[in-house]
Amino acid sequence: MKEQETINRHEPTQGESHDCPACQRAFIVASGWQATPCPLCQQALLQVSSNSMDSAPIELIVPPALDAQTLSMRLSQFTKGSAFPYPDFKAENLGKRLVLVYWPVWLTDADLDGEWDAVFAYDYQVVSSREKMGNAGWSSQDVIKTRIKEEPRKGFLKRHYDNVLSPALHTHEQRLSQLGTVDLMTAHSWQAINTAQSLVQKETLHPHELEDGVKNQMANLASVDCRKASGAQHPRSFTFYGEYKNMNWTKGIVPMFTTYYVDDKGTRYPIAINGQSGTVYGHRMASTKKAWLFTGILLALAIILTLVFYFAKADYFLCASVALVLAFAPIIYAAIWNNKERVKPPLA
Amino acid sequence: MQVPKYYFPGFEQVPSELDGVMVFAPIPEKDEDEVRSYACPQCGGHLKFDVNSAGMACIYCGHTAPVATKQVGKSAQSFEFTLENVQAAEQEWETDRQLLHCNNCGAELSYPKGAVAATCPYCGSNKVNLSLPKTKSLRPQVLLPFSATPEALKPRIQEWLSQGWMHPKTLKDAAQIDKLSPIYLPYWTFSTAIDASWEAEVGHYETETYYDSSSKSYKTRQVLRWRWESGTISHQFSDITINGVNPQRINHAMLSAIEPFNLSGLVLFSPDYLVGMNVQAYETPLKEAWGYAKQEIRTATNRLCERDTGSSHVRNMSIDMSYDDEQWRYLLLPVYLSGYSYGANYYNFMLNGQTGKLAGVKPVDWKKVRTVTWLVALIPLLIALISLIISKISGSGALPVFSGLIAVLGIVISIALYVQAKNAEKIT
Repeated sequence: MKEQETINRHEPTQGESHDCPACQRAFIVASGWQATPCPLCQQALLQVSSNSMDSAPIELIVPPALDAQTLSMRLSQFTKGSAFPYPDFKAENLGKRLVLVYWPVWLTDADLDGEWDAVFAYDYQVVSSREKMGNAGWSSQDVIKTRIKEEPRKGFLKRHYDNVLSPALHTHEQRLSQLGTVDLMTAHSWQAINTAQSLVQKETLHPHELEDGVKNQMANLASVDCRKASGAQHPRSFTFYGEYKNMNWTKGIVPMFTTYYVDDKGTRYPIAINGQSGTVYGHRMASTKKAWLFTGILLALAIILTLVFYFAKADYFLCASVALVLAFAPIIYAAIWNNKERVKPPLA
Repeated sequence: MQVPKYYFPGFEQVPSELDGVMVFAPIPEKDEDEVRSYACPQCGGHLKFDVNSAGMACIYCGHTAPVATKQVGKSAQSFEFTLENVQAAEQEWETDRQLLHCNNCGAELSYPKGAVAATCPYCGSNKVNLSLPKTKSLRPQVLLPFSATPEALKPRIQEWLSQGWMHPKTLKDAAQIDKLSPIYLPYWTFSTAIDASWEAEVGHYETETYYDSSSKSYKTRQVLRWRWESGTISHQFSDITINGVNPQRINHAMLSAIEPFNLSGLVLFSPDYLVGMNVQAYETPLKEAWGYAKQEIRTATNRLCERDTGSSHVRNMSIDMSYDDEQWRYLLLPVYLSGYSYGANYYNFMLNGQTGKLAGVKPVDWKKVRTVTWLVALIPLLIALISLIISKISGSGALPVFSGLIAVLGIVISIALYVQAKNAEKIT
């Protein structure tokens, strides 16, 4: 099998390569940008990379599909319901700090040509019965049931498969699980001006590492096509014995927005938003300072209540004890909330 | 896309619903009518199935050859009630008389619907085109070959004719017995699983203590208490056999009397078995036969549900039953048809071609039966009269009562004998 494999070579990306010294992510930053913090970890300023030519040129770009109003609404929904939020954790603040970041994916085209062998399952209907016996004797009712039968099929496939998505980042799957899927339908050719006001994350995976995975994905698509061609409803097994010809790899970029909020100690917490669907992901930490304040107020009230009952010799000592214990509820709730948030994985 | 023909052995190209994909499916068995010639390789004479050798035999030179088949028993292929099968069974039933073509003399033979093979009445050839139903599942897939030979069955027929005092004494010797005609009769077998839930009032005897005012003491007694109860049962019905012959053509009661057939002897269908035999295709359609089988299933399910109650007192039972994994088979079973002349009348009988079990009709010697029944009734009556006279003379009171009882008994026995004779006229 002689395989023709190409990676499109276009004009080099307009921008400079920057690395994050904290999380080691690499970005292409438009020329002329001032030092900017890493949009994904917010822990350090991006620094000019010594290795600037290790990224494939961008060919396709998926533009953001969210307008300012939708973004604002999504951020408002995200900030609502958080326990003891930090003063900075507000939709307006998050909206002001939004940065458009594109992240890379590989899109593969290929011609599949060859033999296939499969077992597919077909639905068929049988006439069954349901019968009832009562005082009037037996009554019968026909019931149509659907059953499945398996049948072997073989054949030949000669089809072109376009834009099969594969990861360009090691964290691709995690990012999809955090921000949801991407839709390539609106993709168009990239031009330098498209990313002039944004950051572009550099790929960490290269085509030679992905070939087997992409072939498997294409075989799965071929399986679906062969099943449809056979008029079958259910797959059972499928093997493609043919060639993957004219494999062509295209680098595309998809949008996401990043922002952050600051806690009482000045630590930044990054938040990301899917540039198409608006799914928001990030840690919504509770302010322990605020929780302690509430606890203190409640504790003071509980102590005053206890003293009043004590001096008034009222028989409400049990109520006072409960109030003393409940006074600690805010700080306990905040601790539980933060533990739950910390379990969530960091931004991919 | 160009590919060599028969690229995948055993597969053929089928229509594809997508461009760029060619689809090949297993080649189905051909639904063509089968034309076979049964000429003896030794003398050119006609071959026919021979029960003695359980193979093909030349009627002239005696050359024998085995039938290529396989014993499958109860594991023989069965079919589901798919919409296609049910529709085909109804449509093919609409087909009127069919033409069979004799490959030897060219005669076109018109047979009533149902005949699937025949010997040409003009040339005696067995080279007759088998005209079978178009749908494969509606052709017999299995059959039970004849294993009881006519020679072995003759003594059994003689013995059957000689049995029973009500029949003419001369029946065994005077009956002109016809040749046994082997015929394959169509049968349906049905198997299904059922799940049934029942609800009924079930009676249970309970011991009750009560105060007896007459004896002024507490006593116990058994009282039947009714309670609403419910339960579920599951059962597998296997190979319920329903014959597919028109009752006007063959006596169903006589056919039932020679059953059962041992279906573990089923072999894969081969036309060789039909050569020289009469074969009847089904006349009771699949749906109707399944209806008869369901009646048996209902009766059995009712019995199973009653047994599940754990009591012999059950009333107001209701059952909700669902069928699952319904399967059916169409098969041919061996039967000998024959008859005999006695006096001016003709009587039919038939034998199970596998087990040799016999059932038929025998005449009753009514003169003999009448004499016996009158004697059985009159003798005790006479005795009763005599004892009545004696008791009048002697003054004894017990004798008339005893003799009266004997007279009543005699009348009862004579009526029973008459009923038995009436039944003996039917199938035995």
